[in-house]
Amino acid sequence: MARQADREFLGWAQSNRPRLRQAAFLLCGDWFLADDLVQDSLIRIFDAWPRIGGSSDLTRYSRRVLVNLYLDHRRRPSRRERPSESLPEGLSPQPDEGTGYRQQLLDALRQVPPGQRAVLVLRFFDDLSVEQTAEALGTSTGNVKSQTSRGLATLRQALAEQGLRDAFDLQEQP
Amino acid sequence: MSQDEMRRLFDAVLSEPGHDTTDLDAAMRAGRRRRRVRGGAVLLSSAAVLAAVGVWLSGSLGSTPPSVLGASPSARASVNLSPNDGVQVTKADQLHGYWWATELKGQDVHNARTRSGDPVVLWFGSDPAGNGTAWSADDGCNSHAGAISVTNGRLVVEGGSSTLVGCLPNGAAYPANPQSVLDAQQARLVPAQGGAPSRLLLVADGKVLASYNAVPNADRSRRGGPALTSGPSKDPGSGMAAEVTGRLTIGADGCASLDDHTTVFPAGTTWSPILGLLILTDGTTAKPGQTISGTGGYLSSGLAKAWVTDQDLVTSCTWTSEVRVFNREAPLTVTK
Repeated sequence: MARQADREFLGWAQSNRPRLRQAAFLLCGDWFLADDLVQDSLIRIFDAWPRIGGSSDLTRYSRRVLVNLYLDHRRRPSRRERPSESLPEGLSPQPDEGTGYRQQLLDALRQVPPGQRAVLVLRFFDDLSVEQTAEALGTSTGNVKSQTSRGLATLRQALAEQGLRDAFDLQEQP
Repeated sequence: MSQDEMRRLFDAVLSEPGHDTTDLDAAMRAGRRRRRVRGGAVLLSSAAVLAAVGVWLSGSLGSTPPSVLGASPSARASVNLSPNDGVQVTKADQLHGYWWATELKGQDVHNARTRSGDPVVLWFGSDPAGNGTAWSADDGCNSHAGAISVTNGRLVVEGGSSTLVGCLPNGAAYPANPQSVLDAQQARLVPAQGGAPSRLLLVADGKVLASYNAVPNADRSRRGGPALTSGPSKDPGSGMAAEVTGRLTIGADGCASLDDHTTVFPAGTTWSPILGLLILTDGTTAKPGQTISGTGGYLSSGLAKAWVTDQDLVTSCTWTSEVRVFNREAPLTVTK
């Protein structure tokens, strides 16, 4: 029975891990931290698997876990990265920090506050509806709408500062 | 249109994926250990209730129950510790419970917080599989666990497993917490007295490796969090004059509140998910169901949100129309 559940989790995790990593990276902008967040998320999801394994809302549940871990990470002063003059041994400059256009986009995205960024990722990367996003974040639909609006406005402004004002049409849908 | 344009932007950002360092096997091992520890905690809490009732019936507690504030790290054991203090542990089940590290290899850690924001904690409890006593200790990033027994007063410790979470550079690390368990030759218990909690000393070669305070009211089955807190005061001494009081509850959103009303606690208050306790600024703790009181006011949610400077926190919790707000530096009291 337990082995069957383990196999089900493995199957789900193997097919969903890449997407989870991408969502984590969009949230935090750092592949190392994204993998930490995904690893912690997988531990929690496996822990809860006996309760949620048969659920049809695993995507939403996994995003809720991921976003909570990310916001929790941001919230705790002890967990924030501290500046260091040198990289730890064995770490090269981050391979994800590409140059040029992609870096500009990443910089713009990083300027969006974490809560708003979480809403944008859930709504526009994971294609969750306003209601599903509100449920995943444990907040109201009104809050999701206002956070979406503010997040898009911040992103537009940040893109403009990067000289990418016309690269994307981020006007809100009526 | 936003949907397609946002997806195009995200695709561009994700065009150079980093090397995947996640480990499914490790996640499953860690997940299994979490289940086992929680299962042990349930058994432990049942045993603790039975033990408390038994002690109460025997009258040995007297008319005054032990202080719920006994877990406070402010009453820490980091002064004048001797390897001969207390009584030597002769049975592993004497260790059962949660222990809040106050000193590890000479380092004062009572204010230390782990990767998850919890205090540095050591746990002992029954192994649900029936294999004696299990232990679990956090090093600030990963959790370590194993089995422990006592033979002729000497600890026999097995380190079995560890989570394998990648740790951030420069992150807080307290490897001395699990290492002290692995290195300890004997454990000594100093009984609670004078409002101070009972203490655990881990000793080897005549030296105290680590000391801990008991956390008698931990309830790990309640995880929850966070607690909404106000920003630091710009004008100490100012504030509202109402008496704010209520029973600590954990809402469906996980946020700490009073009587299920959104509550803004003083700056510095934290929720410990691992202990299931609210940790006040002076280090005292409160568990759900206990009453917390202090000065402050009852505000509309619109006004109350201005008190919370961390906007991430604002969006973390659902807001009731009326919000209980403690003054930014209000001293709080906890009663049963």
